[in-house]
Amino acid sequence: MKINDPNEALLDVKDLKVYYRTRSEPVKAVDGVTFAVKPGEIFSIVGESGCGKSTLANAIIRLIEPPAYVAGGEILLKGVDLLKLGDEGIRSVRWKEISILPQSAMNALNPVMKIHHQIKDAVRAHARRMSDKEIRKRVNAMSKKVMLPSYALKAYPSQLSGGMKQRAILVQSFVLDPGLVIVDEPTSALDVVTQRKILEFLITKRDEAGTSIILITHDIAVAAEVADRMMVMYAGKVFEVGDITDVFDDPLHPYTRALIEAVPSLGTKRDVRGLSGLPPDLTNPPSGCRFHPRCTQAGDSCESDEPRLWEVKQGHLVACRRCEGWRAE
Amino acid sequence: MKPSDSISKMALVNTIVAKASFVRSNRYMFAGLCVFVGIVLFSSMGTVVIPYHPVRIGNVPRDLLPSYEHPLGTDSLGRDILAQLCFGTLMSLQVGFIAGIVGFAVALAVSFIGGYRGGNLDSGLTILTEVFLTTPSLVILILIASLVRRIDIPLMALIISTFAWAWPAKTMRAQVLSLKERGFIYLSKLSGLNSVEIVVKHMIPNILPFLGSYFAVVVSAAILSAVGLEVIGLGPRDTTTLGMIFYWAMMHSAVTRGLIWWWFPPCVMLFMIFLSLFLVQKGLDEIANPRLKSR
Amino acid sequence: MGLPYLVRRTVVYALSLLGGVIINFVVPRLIPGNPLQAKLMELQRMGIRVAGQDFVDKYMRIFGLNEPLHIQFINYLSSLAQGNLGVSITRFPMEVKELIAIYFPWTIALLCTAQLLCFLIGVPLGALVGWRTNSKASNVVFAFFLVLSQMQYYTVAMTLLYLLAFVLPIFPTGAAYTYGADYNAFQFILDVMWHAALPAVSIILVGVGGWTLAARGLMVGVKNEDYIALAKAKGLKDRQIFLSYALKNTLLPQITDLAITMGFVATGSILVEVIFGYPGMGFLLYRSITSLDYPLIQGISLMYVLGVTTAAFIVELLYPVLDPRVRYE
Repeated sequence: MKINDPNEALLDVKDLKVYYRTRSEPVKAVDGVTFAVKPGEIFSIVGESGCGKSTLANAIIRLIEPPAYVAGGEILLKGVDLLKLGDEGIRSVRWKEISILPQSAMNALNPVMKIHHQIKDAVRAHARRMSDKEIRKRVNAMSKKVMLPSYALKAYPSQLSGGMKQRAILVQSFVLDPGLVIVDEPTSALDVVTQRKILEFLITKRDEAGTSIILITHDIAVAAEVADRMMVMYAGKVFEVGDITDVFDDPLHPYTRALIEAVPSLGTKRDVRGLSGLPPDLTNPPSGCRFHPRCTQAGDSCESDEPRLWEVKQGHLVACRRCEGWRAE
Repeated sequence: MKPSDSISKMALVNTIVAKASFVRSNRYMFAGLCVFVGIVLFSSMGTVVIPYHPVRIGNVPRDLLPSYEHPLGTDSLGRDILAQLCFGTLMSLQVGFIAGIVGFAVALAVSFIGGYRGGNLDSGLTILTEVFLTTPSLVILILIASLVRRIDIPLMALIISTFAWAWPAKTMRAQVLSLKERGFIYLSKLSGLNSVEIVVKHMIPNILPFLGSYFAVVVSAAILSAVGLEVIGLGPRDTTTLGMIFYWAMMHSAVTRGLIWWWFPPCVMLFMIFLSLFLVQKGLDEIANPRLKSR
Repeated sequence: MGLPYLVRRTVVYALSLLGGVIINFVVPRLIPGNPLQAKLMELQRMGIRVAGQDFVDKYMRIFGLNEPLHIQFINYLSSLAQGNLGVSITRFPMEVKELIAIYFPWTIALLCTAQLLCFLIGVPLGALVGWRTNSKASNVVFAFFLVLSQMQYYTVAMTLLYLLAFVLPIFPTGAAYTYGADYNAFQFILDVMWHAALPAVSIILVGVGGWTLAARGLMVGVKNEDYIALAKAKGLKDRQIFLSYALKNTLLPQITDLAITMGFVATGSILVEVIFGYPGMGFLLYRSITSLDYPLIQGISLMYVLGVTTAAFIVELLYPVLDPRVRYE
């Protein structure tokens, strides 16, 4: 399916709220998140553990299970609200339009099924008319691209090394050529060489096939390397969104700045600084701006009023009381 | 009212609420304990209160239907059934607990020595455990018991414990192995504690809920073996246990004679015993591993 | 898998058999006095005329009971190897193995049918209940089987005998078939099934409870694995995920359960046979205990040990063949 207007969003998330039911107050894991992903771009979602990014990823493919539930908002994929689709509808969207690349390949493969059988399952679920031969051809072609040997396809997961399993998962996630792939923490469980290979693969996919990628990570350095645009999340809220160069050259939110400063820099000589305090309790988040207890630049209104996302520059938005009302050139 | 009064009142309310939620979140264990304690109390009271002798033959008229004097009737040997039920329950529980304690003690020794030391000793002990585990215990118990002249409660318990230790030994060893790898054990070794101290002071307290759960299983299995032996005719003849009630009932074809008040009450009692022990075991399992709570 | 596993399994099997044989040999010789003499005295007390002391001496000589212990043991082992289990005292001069051969098939038929049905009913049921733990129906079913699993074979047997053979004479009160009836082959088979129904149901009712619980527990564990979440993300149908991804992963551990429960079912069925007068080995054992026919008791016990340990051994050998994970470790 082609999009005519290159600026038309592929994925449009509007004011999404995902909460977890508890015996007392619900945990507001995702609390009013709005962003858009364009076709053919790598969009990175960055934040600490527990900021809600994984919950957000699961919500997009509607894998939210009780006690979690969607409390509001819209998820528009090419104009269609995924939250309003029935079971059949969402199943047809999964993997063909949006697929995920899981964090750890160790447990993501069915131990009692051969690799190619599992990949075939994914293809069959969406392309029923495809013959076995066609499927095998496609899988083989893709395996060659990621250097997955053909004997691995006929094997069981327990026979493969970690790297091969990761490549198998890669083939599985991209076999249907989806328009959007959600990549969850692609770097935490791997050695640096495999890490590099996967990031290169993602970039190639974006350039050659126009695949959009949502890259979820806590490692801002990875985002800096491959992403086109970046979104910073904190305690279920969006703090800053913008082009990667804009955000890194001129981080508007104090939290973004703290994240950047926490990573050592090869070029310039500066101190590595951390953040004091801990992420807030999501059953009873701080009033106003959720970051104000830890913010070094908190003002009076930061405790009382919650900041909205404000477009400071073309494409660069920030939710901070200090920046509200300000427009840059 | 002084401020200290209201504070202590609030403290009291808080403790009650905390205890209530503790009970609520461990429903299985407390339910099981309540039933079990109820059984013990009922049987004890019955043994004391009921005027009829549970074992002596012919001390009441035979084959009487349930009535006010004999709430569960009498059997074909002239004994009050309710008296037998109460006394028999206590005897069966006694066998179960003696066998359970002996078997559990042996299992503790075997699993900790083997699991902690490792090496050939461990391999040898594990193989021994598996041999005792795979051999059908009841059959061997039958073999041994059939050759003993006179069986009484302690002897039967001892015979049963020769197999009762196998299962807990195997499961406890798995626990020991996983504990051994934990950081704090390594630290204890570094700080110079000897093995016995490490095992007693550090390992065991950490797996107490598991141990409790396994003990409940062992007692359950011991009572099962005991009743099995008794029904088949190898139980203690000088006294009465739940299994012996079944034995005499079957000897006198109680089922096909329709004497339901003879053989049915012990069925119910046995069921309650096993159910309560199972609940306690499940409850302790959940305490040991809170992820099992599916609620 | 490989050699260590194989060796270990064989060692355990061999030792179990050896243990059974040794106990069979040692224990009777531990009791003071002469069992044959005691038996004869007992018969005499009952007013039966018995042969005198030279009969006892002759018996001792024939069976080599005068020899030193280690020679006796070698004789014992060699006669066992030849399949000679001795002669029955109560049914003299019938050989123990002849008697066993008559009663053995009935037990095998009962056990195999019961165990198989338990597995075939319990495992799918438990898996289904575990797959949908949210529905009220599955919780009711779970509680029901929980309660059922706490009953004993003989209590259920007695209750069934009472209700369905005494109160409502639907089923016969005992035996394996109607003696003296003139049936053709088909009618005979039906008659046998009619007689075996209650014993089998006693075993199945209790056994199914255990299998359902185990299957449910395994399913609840598997349900939370990453590959199940990924299977859902792939857009596969619920039924397919349940069968190929979830159920398949729960089946293999339950195969070993078959081995473990074999012993339990075999020994529990002894009492069921006794209650129904079903002419299997358990019934024979019971009779031999009441009459203190020691060779018979020992012969049957040995058969049980042999049967149970061999069945367990075979299943344990089969397991690596079926489980790809164990195969390639």
